[in-house]
Amino acid sequence: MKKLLSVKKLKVVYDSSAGKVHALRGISFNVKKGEIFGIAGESGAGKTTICRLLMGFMEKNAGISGQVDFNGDDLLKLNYKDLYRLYGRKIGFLPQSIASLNPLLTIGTHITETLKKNLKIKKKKILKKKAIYILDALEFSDSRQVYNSFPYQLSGGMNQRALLAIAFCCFPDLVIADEPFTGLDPDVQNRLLETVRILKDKKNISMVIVTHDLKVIEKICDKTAIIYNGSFVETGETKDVIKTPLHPYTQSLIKAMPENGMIPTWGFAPGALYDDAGCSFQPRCPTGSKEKKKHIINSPASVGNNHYVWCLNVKNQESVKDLL
Amino acid sequence: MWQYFLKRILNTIIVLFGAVTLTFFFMHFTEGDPATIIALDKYGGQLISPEVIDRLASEEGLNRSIFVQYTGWLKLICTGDFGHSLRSGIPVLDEIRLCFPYTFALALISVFITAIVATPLGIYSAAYQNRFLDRITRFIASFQVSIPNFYLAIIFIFIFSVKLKLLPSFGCDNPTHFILPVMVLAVLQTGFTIRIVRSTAIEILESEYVQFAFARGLSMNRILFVHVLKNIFIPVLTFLSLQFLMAIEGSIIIETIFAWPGIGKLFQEAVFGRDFTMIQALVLFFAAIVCAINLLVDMLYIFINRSISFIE
Repeated sequence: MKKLLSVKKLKVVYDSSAGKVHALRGISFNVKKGEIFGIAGESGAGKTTICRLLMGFMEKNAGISGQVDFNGDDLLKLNYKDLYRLYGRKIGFLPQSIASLNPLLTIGTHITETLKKNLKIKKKKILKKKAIYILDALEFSDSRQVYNSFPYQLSGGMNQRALLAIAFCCFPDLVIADEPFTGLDPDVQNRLLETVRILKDKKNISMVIVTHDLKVIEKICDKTAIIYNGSFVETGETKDVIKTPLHPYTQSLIKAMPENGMIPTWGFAPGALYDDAGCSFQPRCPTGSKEKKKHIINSPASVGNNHYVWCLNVKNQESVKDLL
Repeated sequence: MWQYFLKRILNTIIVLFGAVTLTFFFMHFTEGDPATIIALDKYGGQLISPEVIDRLASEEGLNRSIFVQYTGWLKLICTGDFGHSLRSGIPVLDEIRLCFPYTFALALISVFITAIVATPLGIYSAAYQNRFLDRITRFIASFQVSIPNFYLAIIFIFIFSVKLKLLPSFGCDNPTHFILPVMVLAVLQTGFTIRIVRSTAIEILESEYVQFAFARGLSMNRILFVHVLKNIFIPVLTFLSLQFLMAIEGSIIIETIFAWPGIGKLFQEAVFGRDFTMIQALVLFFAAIVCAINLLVDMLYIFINRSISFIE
């Protein structure tokens, strides 16, 4: 499959009164056409920074280095005009909260304005027809009513589905999803994930999903990366990462899931101000914390099937030629 | 919802009753005998005998006890009779009816101009923060806010009437007479309104729905003049309604400078002339206008944002 998005050695550093804030410490990943790539980690790990960066929402004082290649364009080098030509049409965004819907506009207006801008459709009748077709595809029982509804007139689940309709209405090549479907009941969440899966399969859409919910990752993502304190600690096929986690942080995340007894990991992440060389999970690591010597990780251990682990305690089973 | 508005109308009646009562008693406890003032008005500087003053007081019912006068006044206003001016003898309502359209037109035009000038300027200023347009707008807005209205009125008269001889400086015979007083009022209101629009728009531009609009590739103008504008309507409408009320009630200085025959001038003459009936009627009239505008604005809120409900 062809690479659609390629992120290489992406670093984001802010200057603050307390010192340099390392939001991302050199992450790399690829997303192929029609693939869903999940990024999971705890709060403050840098998940939202990845989303914001991919969507061009970064603050002006952020120091960004690396490369974000989308279909041959480096997003970090494009000017605002070229970037906004991509957004909506080529790159869609699925936000976390229903506060992303303008309370004074109907769901229909949200969809039609997006279609009008990105697909250059001018006729109101065609716009409405297309919008209702999309709402129908998302299994709304009364699409016409939803089309004319304001966000406050719909339930949380319906609004989330409306967000899906807006994000996917132009069938972009890539959709960036920031903590989608968080805080919904499992039934609604499952149905929405199933809808995403169907949409993605039908239209061959790629996605980057950023979440702290490993259930979402497990159900929908083809590939997964676990992020800790601005760095990836484990990447690979979702089934490998979730079923046979090798990094102690991934293992602790899986142990913290409700069905595994919600066992918390001792301590807290050192935070974005942490600037020491070496593994930032070492102080919390069940094995590494006992060692006085710093764990300096130059390259990840490859354990086969594109499964990589950033841990000195994991034995390299394959030679890592080129990670990406 | 209708229950809410019915409740509001009942509240309005209580507020108006309070305004009438307070004004009546405050007026009677202030110094200055109205009968003497009427006598002075009628007979000029001649020596007025106490008998004449007594006769005038009994004619106007001013020698009755204060509570009798109060209940009498209440009965009268309930029948829509506000009495007649102690100074001119013309029915109070007729005088208000004559003057109010002038003030109303002045306030309405100036607020309308303020809205159409300040809203886009404030929004653009917020969208392009700290750029050239924002800096210029903020500078002009600060200038407008800090200059007193009477001073601005005098400067405008000096420039446009005295030096350039373009516009009339007083009176209200034709539409050109509107230009100077409207300009003064609009300039002052625009300064405040730009600041309100700018600060509200900055908040809205940081909201998640505006970010999502950018993420969908919508144009800057669509975001500013649909997404942002719709959401600043409510705070700006509230502010403009206050500006409108201030223009109606606080136009005494402007109306005096431009010899504008409006309600502000009428009020000023009534206060200086101790015209009790006129003052009481005007206070009630102002209170009624404040209540009516507030009620109207509340109704507009629902029209703009249908998620607002006043059901308690």
